[in-house]
Amino acid sequence: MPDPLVIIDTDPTGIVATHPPRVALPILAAPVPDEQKGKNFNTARQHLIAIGCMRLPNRGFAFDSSIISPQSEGRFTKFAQLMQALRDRDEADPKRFPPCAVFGHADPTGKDDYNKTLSGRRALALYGVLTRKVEIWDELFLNSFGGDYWGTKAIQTMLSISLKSGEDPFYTGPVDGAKTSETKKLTSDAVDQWKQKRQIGSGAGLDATQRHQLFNEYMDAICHDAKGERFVLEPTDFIAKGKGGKSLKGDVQGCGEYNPIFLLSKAKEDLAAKDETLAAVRNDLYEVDRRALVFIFEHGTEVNPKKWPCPAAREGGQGCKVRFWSDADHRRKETDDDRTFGENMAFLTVDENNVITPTPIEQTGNTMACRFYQAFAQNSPCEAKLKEWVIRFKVPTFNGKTQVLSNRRYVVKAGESASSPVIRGTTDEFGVVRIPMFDEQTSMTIWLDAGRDLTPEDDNPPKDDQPVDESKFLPFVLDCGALKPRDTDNDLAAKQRLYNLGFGEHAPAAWTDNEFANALSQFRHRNNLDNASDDDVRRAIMKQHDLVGIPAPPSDDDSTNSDSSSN
Amino acid sequence: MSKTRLVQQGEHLSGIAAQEGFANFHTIWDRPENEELRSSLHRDPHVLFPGDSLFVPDREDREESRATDASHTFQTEIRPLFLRVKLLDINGDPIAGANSNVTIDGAAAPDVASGGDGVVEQRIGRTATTAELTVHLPPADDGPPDPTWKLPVKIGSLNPVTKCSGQQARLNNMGYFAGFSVKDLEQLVWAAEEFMCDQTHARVTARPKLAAPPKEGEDDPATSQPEAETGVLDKAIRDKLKTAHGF
Repeated sequence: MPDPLVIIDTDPTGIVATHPPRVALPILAAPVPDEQKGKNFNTARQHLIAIGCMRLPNRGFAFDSSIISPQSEGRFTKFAQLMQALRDRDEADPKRFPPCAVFGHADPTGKDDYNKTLSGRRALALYGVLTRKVEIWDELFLNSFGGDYWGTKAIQTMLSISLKSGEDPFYTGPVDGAKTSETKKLTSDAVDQWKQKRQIGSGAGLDATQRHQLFNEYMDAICHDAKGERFVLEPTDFIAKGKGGKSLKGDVQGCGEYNPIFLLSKAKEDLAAKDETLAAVRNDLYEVDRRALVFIFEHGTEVNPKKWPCPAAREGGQGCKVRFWSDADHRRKETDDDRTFGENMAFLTVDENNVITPTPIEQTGNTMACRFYQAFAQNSPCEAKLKEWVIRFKVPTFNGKTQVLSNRRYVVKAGESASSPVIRGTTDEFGVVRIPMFDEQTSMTIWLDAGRDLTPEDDNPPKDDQPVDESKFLPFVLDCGALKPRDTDNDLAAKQRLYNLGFGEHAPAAWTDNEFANALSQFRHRNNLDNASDDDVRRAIMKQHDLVGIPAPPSDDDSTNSDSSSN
Repeated sequence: MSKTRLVQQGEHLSGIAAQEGFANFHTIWDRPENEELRSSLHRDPHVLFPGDSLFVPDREDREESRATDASHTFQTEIRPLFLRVKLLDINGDPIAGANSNVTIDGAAAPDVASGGDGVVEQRIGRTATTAELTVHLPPADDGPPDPTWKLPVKIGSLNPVTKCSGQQARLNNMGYFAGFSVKDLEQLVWAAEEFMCDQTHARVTARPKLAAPPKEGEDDPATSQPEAETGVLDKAIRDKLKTAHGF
């Protein structure tokens, strides 16, 4: 069996990722004596396991819209790469893409039924581009729904990109739906020029055949693989194999506003309800909930659309509600704080007497109403922010200061076994590497291109096509999960951080009192804390070592960026 | 000499009977000293729990008088034991007519085919602890010609349905991921609700009531508290779980 494939590729236009691998569980069985053969057996059922995902786009669809933006091109390319890599691992001959299912989502603003339809339209739009079913886009184009009106805005969007290699966009004005006479003319001219160029007539109108051609060109322009070849899936590449008929049940569904990944507090919602400006801010904040996802399932998975729990994209939400959590209303509730799916999810604590104390579910990050969907979402990098190891690399410079190692190539082996994920990337401008957490306690090795000259002019990011010799990268072994919590009274917590900051010569757990005192003294001196109290020094160590929140801008002086970031 | 034996994880009565030199597990199970285990703790002789206290009687010698200079046949009444597994596809439908290769404790056993109800059945030795089924699935239109599904099986490891570990095992076996350890009660809640929804075709309206297992886990006979009910306490859920799983 090949090593697990691990990809987590995030940028502002979306996410393409593999899911953490699921350990196969044995069947725990009871043997059956002959006298019980008539009534007893054990059951083994195949599991439905999602192995990867694409979220499109990270910033969401435009408010109240199902039009797929040209910014999605990069995500489609990454998705194509992932699907091709997974296809190459198929054991069947000829090799197949693993089956997919599309889920659309809306934000919590508005009515359930409206958002159910809107999210279904987003899912259909995504399915349409992946399969090149232009008739689905035509259905969306011709049948507006509430504020989701494709019309001229969609045509402007499609003509505003280069539809063919080397070809300039036909439309260069703002995408406004031709609200002004100027943009109306620009749009008419663009359509006319496109038609003439394609030798399919002239004029500002588009008949069905012409629309289909434009949709096709746009789809090909945004949905292609890394080589620029069009990336197309067949209906049989989806989990119900298209056997749900025109409804596409099983293959495409809309979750409405039932499964948000972000919910504002009640106080903020109340303010937005009274003020148009604040309502606009709220709509911006809810962009993250306006999304469509493709989940990828294990090779060979095929579901019976009649038994699939989700209603089809064009159906109402009644079927969704059967699958809701028993406490779904609480999960969707606005509370005192903003809530994010994937954060603070635990709702049961058990004390030493085995007494269970539940946390009210509405005080946790459990924001999704649908239990069935949550099973895919909670382990998906596309929906839940996975825990990460955050490591910042710094080196001392000749003037006694430190400098972050920004834009350096690295290779990470995120674990100890032969099949542990290997991740390659580049440190960000703050010298930070972020590695998804696969195990809370493990040993990881990071090889960093730290050997390059540290002069600022050499600190430009290496070009992608520039060969690098990874054998020259410096290895750093991380004992992940071993760091003691931030506690100024804990000697080991201080020793570990001092060691990570470059003080001491061997593993801190074995430091003698003298070695600890020497390291503290050096830290004091280097940070101009010679006269500070012991408590202040320990606080400074914690502050300098632990990244909290978003990294501050880089500086050559630690004292200015020490209240930022990690370990 | 009679004794009281504490059941270990993975043990069942046929295996214990074999170890103690009894041909029939009923010789142990039907003893009045095991009445509590049979009735108040509702154990099945092949679904015991670590820490269960089992009375094992003395072996009784039997004398038979036969003529010398002749050959005599003696037949013991060892009760045959089977591994029976109902195979369901991802939709919950039985996988009928699928041929399976079987190994028991690493040794090849005869192939078996599932019946119309999806059940495969293989006779096993009383002390068998592991099996592996390689199920040859019906090929899909576009799939490999011989798709297989490998099923490692731990025989005797199914705990009672009144226990968290027993519920997790049944749910995991039936495709509802209920967690890796008994500490994962939140995943158990997910699986229990999802299972009940499938069983009743209706929305589950109340979160299952729970009792936590010992912090050390349930599989240590020294701390397992055989009489305590753990995991999901709702009888309706447990009854359905037992019926659907087949044990």
